[in-house]
Amino acid sequence: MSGAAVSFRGVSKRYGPVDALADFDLEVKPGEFMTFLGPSGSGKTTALNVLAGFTHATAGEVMIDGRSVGGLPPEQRNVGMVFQSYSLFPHMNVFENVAFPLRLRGVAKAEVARRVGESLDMVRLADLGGRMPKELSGGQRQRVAFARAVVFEPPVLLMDEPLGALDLKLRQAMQLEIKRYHAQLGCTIVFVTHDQGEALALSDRIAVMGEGRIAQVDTPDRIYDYPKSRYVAEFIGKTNILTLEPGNAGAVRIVELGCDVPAQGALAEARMISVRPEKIERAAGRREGLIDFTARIDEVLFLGDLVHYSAVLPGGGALLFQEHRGPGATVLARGDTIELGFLLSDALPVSGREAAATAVGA
Amino acid sequence: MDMQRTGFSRFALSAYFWGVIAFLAFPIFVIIPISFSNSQFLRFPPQDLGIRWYETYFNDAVWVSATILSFKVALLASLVATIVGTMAVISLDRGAARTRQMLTYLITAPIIIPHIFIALGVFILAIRFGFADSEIALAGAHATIAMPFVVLIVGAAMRQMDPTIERAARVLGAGPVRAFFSATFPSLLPAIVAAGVFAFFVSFDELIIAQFMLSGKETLPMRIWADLKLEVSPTVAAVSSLLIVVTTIAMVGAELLRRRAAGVRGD
Repeated sequence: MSGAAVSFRGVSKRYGPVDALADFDLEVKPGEFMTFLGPSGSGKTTALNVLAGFTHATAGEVMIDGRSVGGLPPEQRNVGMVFQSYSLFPHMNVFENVAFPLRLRGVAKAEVARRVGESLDMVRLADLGGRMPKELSGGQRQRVAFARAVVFEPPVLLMDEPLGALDLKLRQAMQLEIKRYHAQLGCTIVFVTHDQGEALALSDRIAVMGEGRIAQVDTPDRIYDYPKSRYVAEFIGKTNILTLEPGNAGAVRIVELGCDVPAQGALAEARMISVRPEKIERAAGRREGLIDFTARIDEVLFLGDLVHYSAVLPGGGALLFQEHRGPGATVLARGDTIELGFLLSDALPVSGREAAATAVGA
Repeated sequence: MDMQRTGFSRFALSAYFWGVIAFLAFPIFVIIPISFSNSQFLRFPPQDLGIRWYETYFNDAVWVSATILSFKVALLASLVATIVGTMAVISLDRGAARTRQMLTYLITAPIIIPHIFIALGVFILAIRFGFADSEIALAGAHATIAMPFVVLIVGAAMRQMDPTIERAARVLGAGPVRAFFSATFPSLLPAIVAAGVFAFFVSFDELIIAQFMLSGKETLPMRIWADLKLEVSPTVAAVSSLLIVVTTIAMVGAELLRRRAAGVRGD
């Protein structure tokens, strides 16, 4: 099975005065694992429902494999779908659930048995064909739902928060499973989630969404390392947003740190910078080009191998930073005053609303 | 205060509870023993036990034909009420959320309208359009008063349904009708059957509308009523006892079915 391309061209969905989806443009490549990431109300589920055919777009065009599917009902789009609530047919056993799409397509009996067997093999539930859905655990049900969604080899597979109902451990195990399925099947996957960790771990590319629009589309590492806006920087991982203002000649001032830095390149125009907590380290006058400042430790979150700190800055506001406990490293205590610093190259100019610069965790 | 709550007031509450239960169940404890008497008159406590009045009931053509008529009317009425009521539930479920509440009130209104008004209305219509004394018209009227119960019972089951199950069927390749019958209908079926049983007894028990509509024929409640007015034979006790037993078995069966289905869905 190979994947098909999916295109959204200027897709909008309005509910009265509300734009659930506004001018949504996206090209998903064949075989790509594309994630729509955003909080609830960001339009990610609307975009998926428009693609599945459950919601009609107010404007724009959706194409699968170069063919416009706007006029087609869900059953004619030949896409697979996995839902958060599993949505297995409660009165059918596992085998019948998985066989359902094949029977609708008039597949011969022996072929149905063979393909259902293969699908159940893939999700490692080959022995449970006779069980009823209520006799399965949550993780097993979701695997059955997955087998049912791919048994007819759809070129596009949609997943709507498929791991949302599972507990943390199972969620992590299922992430690996989904990666394996994707590698094995090669179909295009459009995956919806509000969990940024899940998105980073699974996706080829992520479309970060907010208020019905795409904030940024890129690969997980580029989204994390080069967020274009404050919204993306704060939604993916944790970050510190610091405010800039014009400083002395040829410099900009970082307000919260009360220090001037050379206004090179993008920094000259930017109003805010984002600095990830892991990019901040104890200064102790070591490194060349380190922007250093003094801060007072306010909170300590001890995680064993990792320690998260929140520190109060000289110009007010808080700053998150974290340390791996390397050889000989001490753990700071609340009230300690410490020299911290980061490299200017790790400070990323971002656009977006300005506010009092407080560190925000996602 | 706490001592009192666990002491006297708790006792009072449970006494009140059992008092109400006894009051509700009292007729049953009188009727059933009386029905097993062999004496000529209704008398409590019964003397001379026997099943004479049950024999009378089954051998009396008037009683039997009244029972058969009631059965036919109730069957037709419950069939109509169940189908129409279930379709109403589906359309309420699929329709606009804004009008759903109002339409539900409208559809279930016959519950709060006194049967005497419905009887009068149907009677006037029946005379006007020439279908007085028709058991089909009676079944129609009974379907009207039974349908709200169907809407309530099936509607409750529908609200428990996960709407994405039908969506799953659609996206997997089923058209809207096929998706409904393969995804939603099997889960609703126990509630639909339970609602049908309920509707059947709403019609089977109904006296007032039948009294208005029929003149040449008699339903079972009409026969009981006529019998009580004229002669008060223990046959009435025998019929009532039978009705109590049959109704109880059917209702308990329907309720168990409905609960088991709710369990399947609620997993």
